[in-house]
Amino acid sequence: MKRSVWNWLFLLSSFGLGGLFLFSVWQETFPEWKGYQAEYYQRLARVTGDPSKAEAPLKIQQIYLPEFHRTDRCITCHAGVDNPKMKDQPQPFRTHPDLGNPEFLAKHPFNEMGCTVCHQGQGPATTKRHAHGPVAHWEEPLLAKELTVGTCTTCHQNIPNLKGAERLVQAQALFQQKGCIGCHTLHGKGMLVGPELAETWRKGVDQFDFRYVRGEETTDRWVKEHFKDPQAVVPGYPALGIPESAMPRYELNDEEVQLLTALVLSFASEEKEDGRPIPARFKVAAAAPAPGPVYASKLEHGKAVFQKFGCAACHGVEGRGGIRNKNMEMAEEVPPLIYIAKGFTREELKETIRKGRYPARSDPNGPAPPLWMPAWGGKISEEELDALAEYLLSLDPDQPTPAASLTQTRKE
Amino acid sequence: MVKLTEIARAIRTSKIWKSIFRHTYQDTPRNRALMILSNVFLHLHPVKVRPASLRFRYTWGLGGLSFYLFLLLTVSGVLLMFYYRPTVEHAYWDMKDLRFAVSFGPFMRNIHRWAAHLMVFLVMFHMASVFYRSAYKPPREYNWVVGVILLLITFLLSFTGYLLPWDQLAIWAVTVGTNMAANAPILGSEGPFSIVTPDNDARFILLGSKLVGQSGLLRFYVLHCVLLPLAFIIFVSVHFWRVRKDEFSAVPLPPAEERRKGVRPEEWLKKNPQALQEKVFTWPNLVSREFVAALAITAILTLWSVLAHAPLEGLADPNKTPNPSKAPWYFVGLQELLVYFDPWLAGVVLPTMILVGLMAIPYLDSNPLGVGYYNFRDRKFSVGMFTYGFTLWFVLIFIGYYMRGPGWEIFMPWEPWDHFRPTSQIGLHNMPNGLGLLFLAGYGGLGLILPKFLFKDFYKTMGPIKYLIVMVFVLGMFFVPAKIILRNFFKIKYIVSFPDFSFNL
Repeated sequence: MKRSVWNWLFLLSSFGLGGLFLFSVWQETFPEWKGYQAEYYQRLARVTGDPSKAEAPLKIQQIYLPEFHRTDRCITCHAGVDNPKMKDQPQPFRTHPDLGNPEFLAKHPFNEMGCTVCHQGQGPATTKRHAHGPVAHWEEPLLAKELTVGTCTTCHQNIPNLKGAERLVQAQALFQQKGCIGCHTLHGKGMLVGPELAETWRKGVDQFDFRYVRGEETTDRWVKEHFKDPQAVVPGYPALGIPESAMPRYELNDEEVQLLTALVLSFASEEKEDGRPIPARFKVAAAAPAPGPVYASKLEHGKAVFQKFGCAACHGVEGRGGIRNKNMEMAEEVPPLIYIAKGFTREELKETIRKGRYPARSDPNGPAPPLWMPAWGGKISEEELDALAEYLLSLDPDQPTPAASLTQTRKE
Repeated sequence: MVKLTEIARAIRTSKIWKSIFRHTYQDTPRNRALMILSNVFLHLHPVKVRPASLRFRYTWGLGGLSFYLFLLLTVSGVLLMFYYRPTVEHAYWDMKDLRFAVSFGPFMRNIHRWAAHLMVFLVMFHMASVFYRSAYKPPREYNWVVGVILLLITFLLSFTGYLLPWDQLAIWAVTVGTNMAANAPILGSEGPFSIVTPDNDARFILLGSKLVGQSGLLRFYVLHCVLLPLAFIIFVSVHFWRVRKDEFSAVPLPPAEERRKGVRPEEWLKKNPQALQEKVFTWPNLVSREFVAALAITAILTLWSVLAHAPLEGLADPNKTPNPSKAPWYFVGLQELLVYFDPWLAGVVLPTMILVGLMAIPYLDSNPLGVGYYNFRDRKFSVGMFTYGFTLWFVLIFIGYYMRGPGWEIFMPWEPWDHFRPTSQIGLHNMPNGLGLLFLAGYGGLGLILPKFLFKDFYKTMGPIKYLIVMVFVLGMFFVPAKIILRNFFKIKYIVSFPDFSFNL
């Protein structure tokens, strides 16, 4: 019998469809997670010495948290996360570490909180690639270990006394020392030269410019590269007169970059405003507000004021200068404050702080310098101004350079 | 041990069997007829068809496959309905559940999405195929109109379904689409001669709210799962009924030597009327081909669904507008027109003209030639105009889909999207209104008058009314590339502009 095209098409389609159906069934019968779960049960049987454990049925496991609007399926593969016997197993079978704090695991019950609240990642996913990321259209890939401390502020407001959040405390000290609040706002308070820092991690990956960032297009890569070299990541658009970033290049070492990146994450974590809020009962109230600080001397008070308003952001750590201000007269750098006593009387100094000053340009046809002295008149009280003036006038250029950085020695 | 054949015969002659199956299945002419006549699903077909109707390259199976896809979409859709909840709280996460936790969830969702896209594509080409073989000419004019209505229902089905995943793609595509409704004349709050407010305009009716939110999602869900499929079934029943009642259009073609000599089927059939009497059994000849076509397209769709996941972007966020935000591909041509025409024109008037123009085709075309086969040489004008319009539609879709990036600026398909590229809107100017009015008068006036004198026969066969209507549509169709050229090559934004009346052209 002569076979027409229709016969061939029928045979081809039938076999094709049948084959694809069988392939689909195969895919559904042997998904990726079953391999991990089966291995987990094998290991569990070995560790407990109970071979019957290896026969456990393989099922998708999930932590369903309607209050959080989350479903976390991490435990499908990370099945040993709450079993202390799996302490010495390789990932993904290992017990969750207790961060050196025996109370930690009891205070963070997985069944009530899930995993993604702290670790981010795509909870509903059941494949490694999609759960960990980064994948397109899931804005919160799994956080690197060093950054996980940045999500503590989702619930905890009292960081300085929080066991396990020491790195965040270190980061906050670095934040104070560099005076970031002098250019950025944080939760609405600060200066308007740079963007609001609590927004950074909430913006979403498509709001960042990754043209000059190597590696994966994730928020933490951008923030890290930006810390290392702001001008490289934000070079501006010279043809259109848009200047490069005014953020100083702080010569941070890798550890400091990690700390500060985690800190930026912690700012955004405090205000979890997206469609998946944290139920109020999980929030840990802040400690009672500390009584007003008592300063040993006016100089101490002045130093505290210096930190409070982030003067170091422009005038350098302890007023030592070194912050670039493009196209400003006087060598294109924000003037250091250690010579203040030589050139200003106390009243002149206070007036300058109250009134502010716009620097002149070194090239009159070039763009305006990005940094200027703001008018602090309405923001700083007279008492604080007095203490600050005392502190500034006491700065001595011949004093040795500030103590070594808060972490390891700086890479030069 | 009783033999199997004895058991089989006992079953086949039992009362129960005979109450269900009213005839035997041996391959006899009587049974071939009864397979069709006594089957509720198949008896839409005639018992016998002309061999010309079996030719695949006559219809390319497009109409039948479109209906088959509708059935496939219904089945996959119902299965999806077991897992999907149309609430703002659950919709997106149910989509994630389908993707990661439901057995065969990804396959179900993918095949539903890809079949939907394919169906929109096939119905457009089915329309083109019907046009090219003149199967809309008398007595089939009304069926063509029903077909255009089905085209519209298909677009709306796809559009309402687009919102349901509740991701960024969904919410913003629907924002673009429903804002077109807000720009409708009279019934849209932002259109010309508006008599409504945003609280009660056409957009509000669609969304049940001033925002794209829960009411819109529920409404679109009900439209997508109940109202539009019912409308589709009603119209498709009429459509099939008419195909049978008006007799399937395929005519037997003359043998190859006659065709090479340029003999038309109409003339040849007059000399050989017996060719029209030759018929073959629908079962198995036609039905087997329909079956294999459906099988083949199912195999292709299954392959596509296993290999490619339907997109799911981030959770819908009314506060974050992606740049660019594009309508679904079959509407992106209209979105592209927004560059050249004001919203009420690009989003309401032009689509209405397209639909009305399509529906009017059978009533404007008085050329009786070509029914039942592909004839281009005796129908140069109508084929030319339709091909031009059809191509223009897809060119606009191509530009809107592949060549528009952030800020709706032109980016070549291989160019990476630069969100910082300066806008191209600088340097555009308007024609002075006096000159513009002259231009329009000239275009319209000459466009209406010149063909009358250049193509006297054309005017005579059409008569003044049909001629006027046809020329209005033709001039409209050519106005679109005129505007494109004026803007892109001459930097002219508007030909006439009366901002006080919000009228710009």
